[in-house]
Amino acid sequence: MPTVVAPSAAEPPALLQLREVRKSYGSVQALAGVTADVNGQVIGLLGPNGAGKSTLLKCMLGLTPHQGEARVLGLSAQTESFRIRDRVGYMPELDSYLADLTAVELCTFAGELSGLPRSEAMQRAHAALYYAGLEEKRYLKVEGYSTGMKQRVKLAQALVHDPELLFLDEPTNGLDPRARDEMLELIMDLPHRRGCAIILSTHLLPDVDRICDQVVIMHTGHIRFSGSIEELRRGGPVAEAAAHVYDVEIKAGEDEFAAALSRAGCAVERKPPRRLVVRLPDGTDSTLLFQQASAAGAQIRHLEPNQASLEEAFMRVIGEAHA
Amino acid sequence: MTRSGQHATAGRAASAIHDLGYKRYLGTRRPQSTRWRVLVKNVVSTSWRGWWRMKMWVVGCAITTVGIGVPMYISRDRIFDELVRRGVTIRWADALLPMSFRFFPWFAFILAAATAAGTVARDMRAGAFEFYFSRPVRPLDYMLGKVVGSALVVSTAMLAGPLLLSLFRVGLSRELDEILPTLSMVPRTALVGLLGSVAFAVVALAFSSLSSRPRITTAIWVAFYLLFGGVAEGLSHALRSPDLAALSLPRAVEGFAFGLFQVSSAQVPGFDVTPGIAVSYGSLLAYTAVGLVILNVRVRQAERAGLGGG
Repeated sequence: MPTVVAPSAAEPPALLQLREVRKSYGSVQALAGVTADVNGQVIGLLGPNGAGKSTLLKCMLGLTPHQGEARVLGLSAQTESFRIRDRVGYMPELDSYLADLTAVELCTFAGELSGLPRSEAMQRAHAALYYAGLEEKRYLKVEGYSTGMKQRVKLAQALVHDPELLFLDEPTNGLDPRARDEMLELIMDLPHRRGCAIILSTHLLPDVDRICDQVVIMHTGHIRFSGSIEELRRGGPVAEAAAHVYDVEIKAGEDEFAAALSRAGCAVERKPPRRLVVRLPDGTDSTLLFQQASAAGAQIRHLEPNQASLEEAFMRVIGEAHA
Repeated sequence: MTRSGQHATAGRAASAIHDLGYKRYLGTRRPQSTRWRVLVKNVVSTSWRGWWRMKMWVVGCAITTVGIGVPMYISRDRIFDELVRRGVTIRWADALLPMSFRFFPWFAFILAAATAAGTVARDMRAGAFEFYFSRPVRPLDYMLGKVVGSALVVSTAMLAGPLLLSLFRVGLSRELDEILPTLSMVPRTALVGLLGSVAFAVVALAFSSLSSRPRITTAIWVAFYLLFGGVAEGLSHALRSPDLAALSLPRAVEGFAFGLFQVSSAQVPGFDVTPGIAVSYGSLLAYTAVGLVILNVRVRQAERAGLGGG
């Protein structure tokens, strides 16, 4: 369920405020009354193909007429779309550059189009390219760049006009593992260093798991979940079941400890050398683990709830939507 | 510290992120209504790169200007028998200016082929519409920037050379009585050059919006200019209907120039199919209008296609 929080008068407006946003293409309903307030530093926008992610992005940038109200940084997407676009940076999924321009020229041009004076745009273009790791290649034409370099220049051109919010569409697409790692590092660093929030649209759940603090899951034109990753993992039947499952690491005496747990009605899965995954019987809690460890003479070194993976949680949300 | 903040710290430790120092931009931003000028600057500066795209043809125009200016000076007082104004023969100095509009459109055609005829196609191929329209750029800004920029490029052939010649012609005047009528040539030349530049630029840009393959769109422009224009001129000859030649873009420019300068060309070999001023003016306006409509439709389609892939 979308998390809807009514902002108080003292609070700044939510990054995204969506109220009954609807958009249809002919008979196909791309957005079916989306309502949510979304806040956070790095927000993952997830959903299968056709979920409505791109349409939502278009609505938020004021690129497509829609019903309902979409506000970005407190500005209306329908009446203040140009002000939004001055304050938002967009890194597209597909190649998007201008033929014959070097990276510096492209970023300077991008800055000028976003209203910066030329000298400021040029200075920021160099800084953005330097930041994106293209310092030595910035005078080469973009069309000759490798996929990894193109991704970096797309990030730089999205940053050059000093946006408060960045939309990143599949930023790690086509990157090798090392380049992907570096790109994710850059993205993680942005809120800290530049104070901008990020909306990351991606299919790659590990990327979201690694860098996002909030997640929005879309499916068939609806927002099915909006909240923190922890909330996503905690919620729903999978997570409820997982709340009774613990990862336990002990110092010694794993055989005795496993036997004691079994006698107490726990299901135990051994993970040599000294780890156990323990499912507690209904009506008990983790105290039972300590009691049985004490009885078996085992010493618990590490204990944590066995969390559902992001993929499991994502599939659960999508599955609930189907049900 | 937030989750991402923790990651960020770890990330910076793992590999160096270079930052030249970041400061929030607190200055004013250029008004949205003037952003099209940034596009104009980009079109002109991009066209100016390399020898083949623009510089070479501008040099060709300069040589042509000198090439017309020299006989204009040497033979300024000789009578040019083949051209008449209201039934009276005129001097070489006066005749060469309108006749120069037979030569300069060639350079304008080449400049349009080298720059405008592939512009929108290149943008389509490179995904540049996402680049533009995710920023505060309207389709109108895009069109205005491209049309004005391309017209400026084409005008280095269509406008600059003839304008210099018209100023030169004023300079050749010996008396005040001669200066005043020759001065009127300057705005007339500017008007022909301006309208011709805009028509050439808009038509070439419209063709460039028809496909995402610049070679194809350039070929369409060349075919339109040479083949379609040639057929129109041929039919005009065969049917003895000079106005039909206004379907050819260069003949329309020439007809407009001859009309504004009030000269008649019936006796000049090869100039006997010059259309009248009204039909030439109408043709240039119609080509410009149709070109703008095509360009507008294609650019708005590109904007609606919008962002993202999935």
